[in-house]
Amino acid sequence: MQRLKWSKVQWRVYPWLSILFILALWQIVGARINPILISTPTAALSALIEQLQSGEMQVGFWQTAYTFLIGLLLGLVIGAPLGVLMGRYRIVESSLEIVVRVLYSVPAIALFPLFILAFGFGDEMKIVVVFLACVLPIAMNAQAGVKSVDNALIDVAKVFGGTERELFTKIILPGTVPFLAGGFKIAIGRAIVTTVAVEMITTGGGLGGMMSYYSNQLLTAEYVAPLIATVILSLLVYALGDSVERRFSAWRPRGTGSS
Amino acid sequence: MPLVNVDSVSLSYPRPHSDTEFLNVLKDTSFEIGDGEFVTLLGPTGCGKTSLLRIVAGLVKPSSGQVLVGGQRVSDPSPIAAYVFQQIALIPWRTVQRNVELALEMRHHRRMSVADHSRAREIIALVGLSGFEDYYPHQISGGMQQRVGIARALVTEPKLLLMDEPFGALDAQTRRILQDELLSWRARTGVSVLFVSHDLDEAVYLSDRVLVMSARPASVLEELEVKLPEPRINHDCRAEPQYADIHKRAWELLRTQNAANDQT
Repeated sequence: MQRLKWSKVQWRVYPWLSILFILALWQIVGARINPILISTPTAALSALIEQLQSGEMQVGFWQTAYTFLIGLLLGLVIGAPLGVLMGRYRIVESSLEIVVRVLYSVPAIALFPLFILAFGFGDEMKIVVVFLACVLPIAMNAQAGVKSVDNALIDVAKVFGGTERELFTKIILPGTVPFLAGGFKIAIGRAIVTTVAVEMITTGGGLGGMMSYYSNQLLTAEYVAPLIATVILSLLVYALGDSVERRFSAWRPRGTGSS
Repeated sequence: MPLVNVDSVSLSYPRPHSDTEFLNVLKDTSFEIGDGEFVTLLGPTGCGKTSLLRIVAGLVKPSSGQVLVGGQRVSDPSPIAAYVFQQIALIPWRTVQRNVELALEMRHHRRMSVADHSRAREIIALVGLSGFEDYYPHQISGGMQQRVGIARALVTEPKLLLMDEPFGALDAQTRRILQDELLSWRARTGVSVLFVSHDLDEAVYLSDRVLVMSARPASVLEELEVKLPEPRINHDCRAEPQYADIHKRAWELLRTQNAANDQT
């Protein structure tokens, strides 16, 4: 067996030490004060196990994952082409950029009353809010990506007789991928925040609904368990985004990657 | 019929932030290039040489006049011409092999066949990069990158090679080596070359004819024929008396034009 060298392993150890330290601190402080305030990791863990055994956690998790992923996916499917068109065609850019900028500065969550009127309290309303939160950063990054493509590369395609379609598929889109991945990662963060927030405000099921319910009951341990599940969901999708980005930027010189 | 016919080409465009003031870049420029000839446009920096090359390439439309390549009027890039860029402009996410193949993909609008792959490999071998097919541009030196840029142009089997200061960004030694190699690739492929340079030595050493350009608005000021013993790479033709004469004449012209350029 190969001996593990501390000089190399240490960089994998420090993050876990840091997490352990925070958990220990939480345990020690939490055990000495009113359990309503911050509870303790052990109490949260046993609440989590209880919620898993009753099946409540699974229902909530999948409901949140569904809203979050569909909203995010819609944002990608609509935002990416929109941004690419804005980056490539001046008429699209000058028509839509002002709309995009204005909408970007409105917190999507603040618009949920309008969507309740239009869609009621169901999944559609939540998905629309999440979609709105993540479509704009994706579009804006795609736009910036297209504009960042080196003009000389566009000349290369033209001078060798490439069609507009070939210019798109072989030069512009591949050149935009790193920016798209960056926009996607920003969108993940916005989508998870918005999903949980809209669930909490409307007490409409999902992990956010659980958090809202248990915090009203002052059951802090039971409230912390879905919070942890939310973090895990977000980290999973984030890791997915990272691996897609790595797959498409294998050619990049080391140290200049955007991750 | 000459391979290239540039017929009283002018180019002007509005100055930035102005609708009434125009910048005249080229004025009534005419010249011809014969089959297999090596012609260099030599001129002061910023005189519009590159603009002229881009017009011949079909990347820029002239304000007036016309360009014929192979008897066809150039409106879009000509299929018998290929371009080598000063900024090299390799696709960073494609390997050397796939960068060379890009030119074939764009020209023929098709998926690469086995024959295309081996054609690309042959050209990569011609420019001396065998074994580097799977390297990415950032993994090889500037000189090697421009070899790829030249391979990308040669793989389309052009009759005319348009080169925009291709060695301008390279160090002096690499530049000398690539100049010699360019002469040998040209001898092997029989391609005609229109070369843009502001380097006197380079222009005289490489060309059959040097067209000295005036300051802006540019046109051909004087045509210098270079008749050095061929092949030039096998002996020190920079030591020939004729080399020194042409060099001297070209420098006289350039110096006055550079002075004129400073005043505009």
